[in-house]
Amino acid sequence: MAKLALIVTSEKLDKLFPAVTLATTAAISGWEADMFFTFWGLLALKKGYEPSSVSEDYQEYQDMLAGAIDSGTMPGWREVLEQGGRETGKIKIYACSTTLGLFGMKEDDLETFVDGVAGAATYLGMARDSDVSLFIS
Amino acid sequence: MSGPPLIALSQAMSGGAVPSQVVKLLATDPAAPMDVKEWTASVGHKLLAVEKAGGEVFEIYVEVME
Repeated sequence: MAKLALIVTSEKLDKLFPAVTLATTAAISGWEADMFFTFWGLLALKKGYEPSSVSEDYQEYQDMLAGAIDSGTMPGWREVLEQGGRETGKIKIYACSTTLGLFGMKEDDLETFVDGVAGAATYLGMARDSDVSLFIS
Repeated sequence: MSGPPLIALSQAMSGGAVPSQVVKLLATDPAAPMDVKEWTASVGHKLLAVEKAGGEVFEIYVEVME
């Protein structure tokens, strides 16, 4: 079966939603999906932190997006991930080890749904073994 | 259910649908018929019909396969 590897470098909702939607769609289509959260993407995996803003370029969409999520028209990003991840078991979530150090964070600071900590070389190995590799920035 | 139609369909299919049962998906997403066609082909279910239910709503019928 096909495999997707993607890099998430931002916790802004306009980056996070496309990433989790693609990973979940891959998973429910029977693909494996490896997600590598690095730099500011790592913040999305931090315990007690809730991504809630869009990139500065898209500020005018902030209220619309928040409204869609609050009203239930659109599921939250964790919910999307759970729909593909928890039910299929095909999504693996990795936190970038270098960024952990840079941000002064420890593995214990990460959400429990994180599957592991990995470095760039490990990600490249995952990407090499994948059919599709994407960088969501 | 709200959100991406394919995710809703996939949940309905994995949440108790049995072989030969037909699941009806109501979707306002104009890409839903194309996405469902691609998805059913890749996971092995059968797309039976896509109907325009009036307004912007599509009725998409998928048969659950073994």
